[in-house]
Amino acid sequence: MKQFLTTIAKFGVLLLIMCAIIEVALLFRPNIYAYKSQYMEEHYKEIKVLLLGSSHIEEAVKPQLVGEGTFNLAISARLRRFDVALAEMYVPKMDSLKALVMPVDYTNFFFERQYENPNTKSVAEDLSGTCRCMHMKYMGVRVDPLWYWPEILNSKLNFMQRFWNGRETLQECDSLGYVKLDIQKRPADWDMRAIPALIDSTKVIDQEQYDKAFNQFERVAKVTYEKGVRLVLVAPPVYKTYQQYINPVVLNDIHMFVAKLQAKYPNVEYHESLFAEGFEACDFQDASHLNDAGAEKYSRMLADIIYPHL
Amino acid sequence: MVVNSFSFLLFFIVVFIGYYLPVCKNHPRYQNIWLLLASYFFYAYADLRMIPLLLGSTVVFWLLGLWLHREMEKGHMEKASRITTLAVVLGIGVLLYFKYLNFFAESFASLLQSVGFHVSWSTLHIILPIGVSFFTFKLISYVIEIHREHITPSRDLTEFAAYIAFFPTILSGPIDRPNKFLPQMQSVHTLDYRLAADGCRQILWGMFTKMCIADNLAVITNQAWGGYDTLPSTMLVAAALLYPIQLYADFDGYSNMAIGVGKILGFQVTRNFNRPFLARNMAEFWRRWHISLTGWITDYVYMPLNIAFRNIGQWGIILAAIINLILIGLWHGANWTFGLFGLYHGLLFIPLVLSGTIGKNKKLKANDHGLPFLKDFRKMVATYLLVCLGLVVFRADNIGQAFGFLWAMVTNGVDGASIIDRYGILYILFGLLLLTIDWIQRQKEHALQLETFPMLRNQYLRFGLYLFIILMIITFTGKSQAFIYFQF
Repeated sequence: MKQFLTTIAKFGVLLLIMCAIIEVALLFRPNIYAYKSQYMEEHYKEIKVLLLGSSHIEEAVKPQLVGEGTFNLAISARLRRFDVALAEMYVPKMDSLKALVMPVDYTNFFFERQYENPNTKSVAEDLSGTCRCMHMKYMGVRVDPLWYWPEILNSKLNFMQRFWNGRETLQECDSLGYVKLDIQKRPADWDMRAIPALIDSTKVIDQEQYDKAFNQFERVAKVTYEKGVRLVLVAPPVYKTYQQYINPVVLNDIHMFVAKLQAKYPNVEYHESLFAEGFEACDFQDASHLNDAGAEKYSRMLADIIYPHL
Repeated sequence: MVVNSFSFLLFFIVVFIGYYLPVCKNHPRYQNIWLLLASYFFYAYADLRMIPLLLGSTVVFWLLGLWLHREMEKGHMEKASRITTLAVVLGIGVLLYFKYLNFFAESFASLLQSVGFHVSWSTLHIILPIGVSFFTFKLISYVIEIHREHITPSRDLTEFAAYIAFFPTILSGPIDRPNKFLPQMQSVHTLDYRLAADGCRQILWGMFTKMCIADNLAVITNQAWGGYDTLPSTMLVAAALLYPIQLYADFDGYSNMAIGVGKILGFQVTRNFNRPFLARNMAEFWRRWHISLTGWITDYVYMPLNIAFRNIGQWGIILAAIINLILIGLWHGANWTFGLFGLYHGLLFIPLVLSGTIGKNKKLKANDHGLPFLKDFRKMVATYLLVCLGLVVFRADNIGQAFGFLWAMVTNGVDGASIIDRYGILYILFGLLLLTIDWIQRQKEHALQLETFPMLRNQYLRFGLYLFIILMIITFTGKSQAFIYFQF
């Protein structure tokens, strides 16, 4: 037993040293979190329109088409609580900011009402770990002040491949934070990918979850209201295979949720484009993500909403 | 909680500490109790709802074993046979109910509809208990082995329940036979350094094949089977050639991890694979592939059938082989694709039986360059291609998709989108590396038994190699895919 434990201990020390070297080396490799954070630190005073959210915004809005001074701070798979933390971190000091755009995401809105799906659960845990780790390391959003989350424990990040991929590939986005999806790389079954989970609308909304979500939006609404900034809540277009999963009862619940927020904060607007006309199959990368052509259309649509009032 | 997860590591550390605590380590009974608790916790973590089924069937078969033995001691052989039959029917009944009831009901209904009878019945919502095919086979073999007087029944329910629910193997095998495993449960386990260290190496190799090869190749094969109607033939042929490697890397990876965990706890778990792609014909392939299942069905189905059909000579052997392989196919689940997969393999036995080569299995030898002889190599390639063809049917969701895929393989042309990018090529090279290592290490139980390499006698050089493998795992680990054999 002693020999076994000694050998394991010796090997464990070597393994830890190897992992620590990788972890430190990763700090010096570019990534989208570090890039967007650096951009914000350097330009927050000039930004007029700031976009938050996950891939549905990151890949759907080209800042240069929305208007001058727009930056896309959305990052794929980001959870809402990190959006809230970023809004509270930056909005109070952004003197030129006129509008903050944030998604109201049907897919994740009433998570607790979705039919139980272990796959969704594991994906959510994976995303949660990735978000926590990368936001803490590169964006200064500390949700667990006393704990360090290493990148090598987050398989989703493909961290080792970052050592030999080029800088452009690693940064992922253009200079204003937009990530382009190329239709040439669209998979054969694209229209059945990224469809929402089935929702049981007969299930009573979990009040605790509802209050938590409301509190998150309220915090963003408050910080923008105090700064005299418009909070533009959006729901980007989705493809018809996604639309058929949208439950009208749940959608109505979302409308009531937003109305409640608007009643409290007059700076809140809601622009729903889930069923927007003019978006064809060629505009989508999958059922809920626009590709480059779709992003162009949606960005112009968003510009019409935001820019005339700036 | 899969074996290659962080949560399993934490679970196993707790099990390890408890198992080798001074209070336990001199008492097999305490070790078995601890093992039983750990195994039930592990199973409950996978599916809490099925604990009553596992516990209930364990108790029933344990009692049947005692009853059978008592009747045999009294010389009531007819009654003993009836008890054995009852146990087999019970075991098969559990499998039929949980795995096949809906399948047969639906098939029967569609058969009736095809001849003009319109039936409308709703199928039951039966949850498939995870690992049911594995632990039920253990239960059945326990009673049969008592009846054959190869073992005496276990007097200790804890020991028997720990054997049935043994956590490294309950979800996906290997299917350990009671005559080999129960005696191990009766002895005290002190940590054997060589066995435990070998177990660690085997786990590492299993993780590499599962996470670096199987999970990455799955991305290619999933795309191929998902979009076979639009993809070019070249991609479909490539996917069909890669799928056997993916399946092997996945299941052998899991088996290696299970066997490795068993070794750390002092158990010799049954080997499940023995370099299947070095097989030179189908009979040899089945002696090397999923050995614990093939061995089980051969002992309890093929051999009795062979005896029953001995009056019809060679055709009796052929018939027994076909039935045997159809059963192996259907064991994987309630789908006609599995039945067809078994039938296909059974038919491939006909030339082997007629030519008298079914039982011959010359030892593989290398030529002066350390490579296989050309004659052997040609046979290995031919066997591999036959396996690929069968696994196209195995992988398909239904018969229509299987034939659609096969048809598309020859008619879709060569132009179209590629599903293999530069990383895909790398993963294919990993697959080929696996086959090469299989050849080099063909005499060993697993790839990391390196004692014959003089340069690796130094411990720190070996550590360097293991760290390199871990680096490869964390570098190239694919999107986590469920173990394929969990569904069976």
